[in-house]
Amino acid sequence: MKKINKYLFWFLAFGFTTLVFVQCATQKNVSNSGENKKGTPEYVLQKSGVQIWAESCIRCHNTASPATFSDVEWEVALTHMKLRAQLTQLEAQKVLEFMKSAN
Amino acid sequence: MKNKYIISSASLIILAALQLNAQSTSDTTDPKPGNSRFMLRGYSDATFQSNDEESTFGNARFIPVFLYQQSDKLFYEGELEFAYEDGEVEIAIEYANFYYSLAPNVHLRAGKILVPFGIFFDRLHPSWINRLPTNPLGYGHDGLLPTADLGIELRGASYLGNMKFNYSLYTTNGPRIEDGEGEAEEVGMIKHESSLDNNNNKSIGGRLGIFPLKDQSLEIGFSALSAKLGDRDSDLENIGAFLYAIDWTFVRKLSFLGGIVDLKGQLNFINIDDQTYEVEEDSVTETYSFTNKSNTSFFQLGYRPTFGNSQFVKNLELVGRYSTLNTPEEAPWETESSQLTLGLNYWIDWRTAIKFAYQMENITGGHAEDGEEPEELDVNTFYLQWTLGF
Repeated sequence: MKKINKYLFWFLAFGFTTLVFVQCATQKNVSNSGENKKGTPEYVLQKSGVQIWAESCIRCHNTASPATFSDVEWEVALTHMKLRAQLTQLEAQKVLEFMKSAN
Repeated sequence: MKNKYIISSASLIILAALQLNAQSTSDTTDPKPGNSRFMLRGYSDATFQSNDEESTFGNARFIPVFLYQQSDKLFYEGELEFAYEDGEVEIAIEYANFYYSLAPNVHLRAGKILVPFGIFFDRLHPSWINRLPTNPLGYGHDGLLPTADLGIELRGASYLGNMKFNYSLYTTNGPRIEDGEGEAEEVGMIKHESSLDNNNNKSIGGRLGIFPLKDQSLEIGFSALSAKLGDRDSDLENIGAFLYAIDWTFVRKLSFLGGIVDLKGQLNFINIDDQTYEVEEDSVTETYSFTNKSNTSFFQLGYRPTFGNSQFVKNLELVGRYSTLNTPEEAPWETESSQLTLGLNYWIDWRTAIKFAYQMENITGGHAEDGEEPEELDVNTFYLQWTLGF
């Protein structure tokens, strides 16, 4: 049983790593010219920054008002949340644009 | 040898990726005065607790978090903890690591990292985020579950078809096993916070989180970690551990309940290879042999009203958490514990709260000799915690 667990773990780890790199390699930086959003589902593209802000932040903590930080501070805070809370590049970009527009 | 090969190969791949991904000068932000990409954030808390044994202002903590964005690709985060307790100040580095973005949704993290085993430590441990003043059973700096460790990690998020997922893959120095020389009563217990790397083996682990609903209100996570625990060149060197966990998060405003429901939980399983341990206590050698499997869990439900016009009511939050911990039978640290914590929070703003909680803990444990009943203990404690995020 223990061996099966380990084999299953390695199989899943290998399969998942391959999947991640194939999937992520198809997605380009949305801040690049051309705004290539290949691989992002249509319903995500249609979401507004305020919608993603309301959906994402609350999973861990209460939502912060846009007035909490300056525009420059929001850039740092949103980069931090992209990395820590595992937002996609597109989600972080949309939330940042909303925070700056509402600030 | 195998480990060295894996680490060397990983390093070469990372170096190649860094080279391919080398940042242009236009990526670098300009840290002009008044436009700095440095942020000092963090949190602070103080806790009062009262039970049959004591009533005390237990501790106070100041925990600054340093953030620095060097460029679009390079980011640093570090958290220090200053804790005043029992007349002493303890200082610790909770985490200190940098991120390098290899691709928009692939980030390398290196340094002392929060181990993404489930959700609690990676996301919920700060007191202004944790809805209760205490941690679930099995979590914490002396717990059975990983907290932070030195290592490297790849993490990010993407989409698989219509479904969002996030991922973490990491390798760290890994946990060790208590061999009984330091703490005889904890022989065979996994230890996650080692001051020294005790062997050449590196732990390997990961977490996959999926979001089955389009509004991302539900996340289900699967975590696993594999490591060898024993000190190098010791009899226990090849003892292996395999840990796995399932976690879930459901947060959504439900109109028919007039508020936001926050449901979180995690099931953890800790399996360590069987081994017979010999411990010398007071010149007597004790032998312990047991199936080294433990499990721990927590189930948490929070409710924050959004109905009505009263801001006072909207600032309230009700929280309940049930937590369990079961450790191996026949181990000197054998226990079956459960904990029910009920809390009421008042949110002064989005990151400042006063928390009231009543915790009922039942502990059945201690290694009993043949014919003896294990000790049972009920501890009921009232907590009052003030927490402020900044």
